[in-house]
Amino acid sequence: MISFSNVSFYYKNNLTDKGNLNNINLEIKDGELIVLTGESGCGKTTFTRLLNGLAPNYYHGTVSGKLMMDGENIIGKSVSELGRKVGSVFQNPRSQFFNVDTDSELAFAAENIAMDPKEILKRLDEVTNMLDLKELRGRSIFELSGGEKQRIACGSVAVMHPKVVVLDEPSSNLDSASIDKLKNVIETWKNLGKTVIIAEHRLYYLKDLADRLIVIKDGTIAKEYSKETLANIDDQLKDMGLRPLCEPKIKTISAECNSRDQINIEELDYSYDRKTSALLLKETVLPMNQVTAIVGQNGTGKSTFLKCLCGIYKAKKDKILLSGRVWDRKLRNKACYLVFQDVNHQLFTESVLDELIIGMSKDISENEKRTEASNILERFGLLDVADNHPMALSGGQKQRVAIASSIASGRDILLMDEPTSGMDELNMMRLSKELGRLKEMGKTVYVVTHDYEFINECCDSVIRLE
Amino acid sequence: MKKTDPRTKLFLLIAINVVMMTGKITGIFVPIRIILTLIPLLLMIREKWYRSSLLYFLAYLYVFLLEGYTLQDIPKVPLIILLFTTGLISRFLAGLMMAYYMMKTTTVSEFVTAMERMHIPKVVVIPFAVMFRFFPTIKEEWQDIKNAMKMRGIGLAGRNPLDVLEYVMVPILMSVSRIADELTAASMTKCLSVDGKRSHIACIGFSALDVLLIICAVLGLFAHFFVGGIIGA
Repeated sequence: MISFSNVSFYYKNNLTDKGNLNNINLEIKDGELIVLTGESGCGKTTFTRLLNGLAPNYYHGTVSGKLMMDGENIIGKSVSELGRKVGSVFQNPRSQFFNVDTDSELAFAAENIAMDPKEILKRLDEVTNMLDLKELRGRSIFELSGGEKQRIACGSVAVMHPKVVVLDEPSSNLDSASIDKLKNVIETWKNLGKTVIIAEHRLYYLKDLADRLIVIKDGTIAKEYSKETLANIDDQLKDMGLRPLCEPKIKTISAECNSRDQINIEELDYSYDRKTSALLLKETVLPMNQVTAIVGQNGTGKSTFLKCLCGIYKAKKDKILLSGRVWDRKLRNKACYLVFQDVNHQLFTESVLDELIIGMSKDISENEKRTEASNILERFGLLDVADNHPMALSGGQKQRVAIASSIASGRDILLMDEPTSGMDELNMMRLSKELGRLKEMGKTVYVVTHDYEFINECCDSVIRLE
Repeated sequence: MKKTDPRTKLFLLIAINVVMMTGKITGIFVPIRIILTLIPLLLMIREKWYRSSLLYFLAYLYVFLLEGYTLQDIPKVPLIILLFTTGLISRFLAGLMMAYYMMKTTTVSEFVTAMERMHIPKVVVIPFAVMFRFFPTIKEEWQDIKNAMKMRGIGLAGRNPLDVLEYVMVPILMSVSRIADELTAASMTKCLSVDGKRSHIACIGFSALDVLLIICAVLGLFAHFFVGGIIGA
């Protein structure tokens, strides 16, 4: 059993109150599956960090209260000591592997506690069967997709036979098929009687599994729902700015194209290694002057498609027409603006405001640029951080800055790769509104996304890549 | 097929580099150089890297066939080209391929296991192991940043080069340090620490081939240091 009594945690060197926890009281029974949710920065991640010991051992701060696990106060215990009992899966699949190959990674934790190699090999086989990892064994980490990496991360935790598993937004980089697989893994753990604690903002995949849903707001427990009451709380969640529990379905949207302008892709063929095609499109029509969603499973080349379309990638065969005229790579590069999936690579300047101004057209005066940039920032709720360094922002804020600078660029065609991955309900609605505004201005937006709620909110048509 | 031991690879790398780079090329060093040249070739063929093996073989064939002409009376321009290319290939290529082979065929856990068998302390081993992982990561990050700069129209033209450097270095350092930070946290939860014993599932050990290769390398080094292989000695 895990029990929090009057647990508070305040991060060191934290200017805002973000992520802090105030006076938490909670009991978690053995074998329970708890889902923690709340807006970004509410403290749900801190919850998981207290359980695996990263707070206060690695993320420093002041902690008070008692956190008991199996009759022992675990506050003050070292991370590696807790690691024998508590397994952790993190949000970013790119940064949680120590090794370069999957087999070493699966065995890594067990090796670190000097487990007998024979036992490790036995457990590797067991976990491979249990979590269906056969085709991922013996591969390089760098050739796996995000979903596959996350499964290996779960596997490397399972090898330790932990009593407790904590997951910090494990689904945020995954598509719906990978989320289904993740769900299976979590279900397996639940059936094995492990205590599972998941901090998440995407909730639908946990609906059937959760024993309790806990909403955290400003570092305190705002609301607690038991399994029985989970069925009808979507409206309440929405009011609190949270994602719904029901799996959203794409409304049937006509893929018909009303506008006169359109992009015709006659042929687009791109491959990374000159052998297998990563993307092969023929005779495809993209509607213009509206918001179009591009969906499809991981690995169908959605991101590759955007990069080819805006001219960053050079396709082997590349024949695209804009309103009947040849539209080559150079022209596309000038007309399009792509917001990348990983926002950490696309912010370059020293302040959020500069970030928007740097990409603006050179014809406008400096003053006008500033006003326009401030307006855009306000619409994204970023005005109060306008003078901050972009790299000092939270992930969700960076994402909004990147999107805001794409809008500031004034280009006619905007491409966005998973723009809502780190967004709570409030910010997702902000973005939807903004895209509606762009549409009214006659701009064209293509979004690669698997956020169906977002699609229903603002997309005019949906294209599925197979 | 038993894999070559990481310690053998490391020793071969050192031996090949020392002898090939700084050694003499005449007398008994002709057969020694041939043997040391053949080692990476043999290892590559064993890994079924046929294309690389062939290119490597052709490069050395070129050297062995034409090196002799540099001592003869031939016109200046071809002489310079010949001296330059044969010198470069014969002195560097074998070591380079050996390093490539070592990086490609050694997993992090094999490397760590080997280092620990040699009783090298963990504080030295762990940073090395992380380095293995960071080269491809930095490459990935750099690619992404380059693309993003292109997208945003931040190019070299018309800008202060110092600004451009800042635009490149800041995101790269930020994102690499963020990855390092998250990686440390993740590794800690997996019980990695500098003290305490580890076990290993990586099977490493010396086979007959290892012994043979080590004998070749030792002979090469012996000749190099004691039979006057060092240039100028």
